[in-house]
Amino acid sequence: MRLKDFVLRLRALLFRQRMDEELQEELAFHLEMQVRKNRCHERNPAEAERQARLQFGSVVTTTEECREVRGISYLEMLGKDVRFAFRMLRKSPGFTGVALLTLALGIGANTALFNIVYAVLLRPLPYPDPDRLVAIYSNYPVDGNASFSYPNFVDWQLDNRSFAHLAAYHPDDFTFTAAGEAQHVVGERLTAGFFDALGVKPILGRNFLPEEDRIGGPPVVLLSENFWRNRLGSQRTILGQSVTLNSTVYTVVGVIPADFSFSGKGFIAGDVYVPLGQSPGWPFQSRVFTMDIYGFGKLRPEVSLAQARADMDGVARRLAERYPDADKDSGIGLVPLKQDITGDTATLLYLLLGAVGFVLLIACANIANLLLARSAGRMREFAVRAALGATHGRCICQVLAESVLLSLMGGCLGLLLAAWATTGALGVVPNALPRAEEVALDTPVLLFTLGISIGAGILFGLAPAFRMGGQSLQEVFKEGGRGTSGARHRLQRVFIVSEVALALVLLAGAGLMVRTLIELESVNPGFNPRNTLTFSLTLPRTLAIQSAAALREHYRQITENLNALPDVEAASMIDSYLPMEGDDELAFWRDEDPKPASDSEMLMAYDIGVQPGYLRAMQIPLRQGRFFTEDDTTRSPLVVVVDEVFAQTFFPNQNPVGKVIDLTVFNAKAQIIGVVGHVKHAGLAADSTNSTHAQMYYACMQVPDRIVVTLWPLSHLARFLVRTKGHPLTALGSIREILNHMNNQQTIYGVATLDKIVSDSVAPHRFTMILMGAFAALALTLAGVGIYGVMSYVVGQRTQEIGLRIALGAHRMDVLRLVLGESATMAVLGVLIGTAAAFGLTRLLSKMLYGVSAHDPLTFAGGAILLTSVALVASYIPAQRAMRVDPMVALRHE
Amino acid sequence: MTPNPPRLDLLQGTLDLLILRALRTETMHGWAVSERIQQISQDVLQVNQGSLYPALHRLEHHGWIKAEWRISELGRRARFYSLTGSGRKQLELEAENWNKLSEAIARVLRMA
Repeated sequence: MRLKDFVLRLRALLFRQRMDEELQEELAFHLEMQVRKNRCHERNPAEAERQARLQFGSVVTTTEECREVRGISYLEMLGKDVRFAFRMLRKSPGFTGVALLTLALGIGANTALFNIVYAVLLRPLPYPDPDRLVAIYSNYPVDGNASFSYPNFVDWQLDNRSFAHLAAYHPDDFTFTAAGEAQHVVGERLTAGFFDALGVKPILGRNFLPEEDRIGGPPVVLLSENFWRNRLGSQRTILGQSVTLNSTVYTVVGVIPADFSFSGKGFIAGDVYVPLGQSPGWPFQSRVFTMDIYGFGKLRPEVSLAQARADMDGVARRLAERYPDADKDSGIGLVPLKQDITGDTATLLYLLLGAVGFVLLIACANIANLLLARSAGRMREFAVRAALGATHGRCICQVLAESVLLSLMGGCLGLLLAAWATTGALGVVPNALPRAEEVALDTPVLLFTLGISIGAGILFGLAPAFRMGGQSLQEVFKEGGRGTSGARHRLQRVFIVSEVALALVLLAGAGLMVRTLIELESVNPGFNPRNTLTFSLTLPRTLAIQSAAALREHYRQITENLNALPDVEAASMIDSYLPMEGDDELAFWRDEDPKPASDSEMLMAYDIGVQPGYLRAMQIPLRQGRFFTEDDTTRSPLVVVVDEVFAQTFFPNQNPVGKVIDLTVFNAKAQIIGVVGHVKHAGLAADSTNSTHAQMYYACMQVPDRIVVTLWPLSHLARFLVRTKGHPLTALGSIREILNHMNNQQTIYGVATLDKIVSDSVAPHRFTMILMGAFAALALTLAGVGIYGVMSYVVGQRTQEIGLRIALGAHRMDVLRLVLGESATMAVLGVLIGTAAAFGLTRLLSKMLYGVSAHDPLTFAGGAILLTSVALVASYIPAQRAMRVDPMVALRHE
Repeated sequence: MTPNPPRLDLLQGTLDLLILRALRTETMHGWAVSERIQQISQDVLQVNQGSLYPALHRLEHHGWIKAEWRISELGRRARFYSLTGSGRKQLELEAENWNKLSEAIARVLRMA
């Protein structure tokens, strides 16, 4: 419709009365002029007027025609239709209630999921020019994108011509000391341009300056708004004051707003930010050793991603020439930041969105069926309307107005449901999705809900609308008000069969996910996560600056004290990542081989530094040789323990015990003293036979001084693992007590049970299973209700026929069979179609599956049986009603 | 009184053309439009007064004529219509179409 046209129509609607009056005045004027003219040859004034009226014709018709030209009609009609629809819905609360509930569930589930999809995948990142942000990695032939070394990053910054900003960060833990009390705080070490690249302005003070972001720069810190408010009393005088972190005194230069969030790899929006370039210790200065430093860049406006890639390839090539030892095989990987953050979740979320769309389709089919059944009772009403001059189009409009009104009301309820369901879904499985903190019901989501509400209303209203609109008077009265039952039944059956088919697809998907979770839970991770607790410890200020020997002794004492607790079965320090939390790799070569020419030709294995209690705490089986003892110290020869995969990969068909390997970072030879069971370090679904998952343990107490002094005070690397006798969290009290007793400056943080870590590692699987399960349950319920509704209706319509059959001697069991047979036919047909569809669609889920094929016959059969049973149960009540039909009553009915 | 000449009913759509033509030189109210058409056609064309007003409103809706309230010869207000710019173009267009049509019909009749 043209805008001007619409404005005229709107004006006509709003000023309707005035325009009507003006029209009457205009016509009256015309009549008067005509009367005057007639007077010239007609003496009798009354006759003159009569003739004028005759010449004019019907004033009413003219008025109507003028109004129609002005175009108020269809807006006005719509208003009438809506008012009428509202009355009709109020008149049948039962129907309206069921329909609204169905719609609220269908639309609510869709809105909730779209809400998540929008926040995670569609909404632009909350920074200026989000499309120019690109994640940057070191790229290796085998491992792909990984963290990079700080010196390499500095060279990237200097050498590239593509980026307006290039920023790097390293998540870290700090000990914040105030008034003699130590607190653990989380933070980031980041480069000076970090917040500028994201367009984040401090609410107080300023961002880091380039000269602060280098070794020897003045120690400065940015605080988070929350930290400033909650721990420092939100004083505006904070700028220029000092805070103590890790025994260094930092000057506060700014406060970062609380609404800042960043979901880049590994980033935690913590409490404190310090310049990355000032970071102490050789690990930050090594090109070989990487310290979980990640980064991103903002492309110059005129540079495309492909150009940037070409540019950075050149940068990497020049680095490889200059530092062949470290960078010979490493390239630079660029990934659009949003894509890097959302990663694999895109496929998964779109899949779930498709699944929830099926639920809405089922809901629509159900309501269409309800409306069809209801339309039977309203055939006469519409026939009468048609007889009184309503056009086909008018009748269709009336029915559509009703269905759209219904779906809009359902949509409103659905919105409420969605608000609740979204938080529910995200709450049940936290950590399953990136950007989850950005989920909020906002305009695009509301528009989506409005869109699907209207769409659904039209969709389920169409079939009944055309059926009603196309009704001819004759037919209706001929059928005695029962409508053209045959055709309508056919349509209803089509709907039911489709519902069953859709529900089967969802059931198959949900079934496969349940099987996957069961399989994953039955996977032996190689250790026993029951009753184990892990925590990190802040290091007392006085200790952080002491010698390696003192640090070793301190940690040895902690473990000794923990082991002495009555609740504790075994305890160990861990100088690396726990399984499923991350991995650390160590380069080495077999002593019998010559030393490889470059780092890239080294052998690699996961490395974990532990204490003697680790094996018992994790309950990892010892296969061969021995594990570490308290006697393995810096004064005794360096020894390592390897796992089965290590033994098979690097010493196939040999006895690995007694073999010697050369460890790069340790700069020393180590003898293998034992072989232990393999641990699923990379996750439950990881392939344990994969040689890249080979593992090696070293003793914490044998770590060289150089590493102890620089790495151990970075407190998150010193974690403890404790196997407890009872529930792990009940032991926490006595653990805290003993540690505090040793030194009141060491506090526990990052407490987790291994059970939780293992269960979090399958969070995306669980998230998928819960959502698919919920959708399938919804689909099953709706399909059941739908079949019940249709069968009840069919039985109601066929009461006479059934009565007649019984009167003619049909057995009541025959009647039961008749009804159940009909619904079984529909169910089986639906199941067949659904199986075919599911066969094609579950393939999309295969990435999320573990231990079960996407076409698992057992799951498919289970879904089919469940669905058919539900169909039979749902039609049993109407079938019984049919069975009890009293032939006398039924026949007298007419 | 002279005997009425035979009157022709207006073809659908030609009424619009006639109204536009009548308003080309002068602003007038509805009754005057119908009188004018009748006069010029020497009473051959009879405007059905009932369909005159819907036609006027339709043309106004299209934006080809515009209306305003003015004081009429009777001393009371009446709705006066006048041609707009786009109405002038529309009139040219329709007049041309009409001429083509009538020429074509005339040619056919001559042939036959």
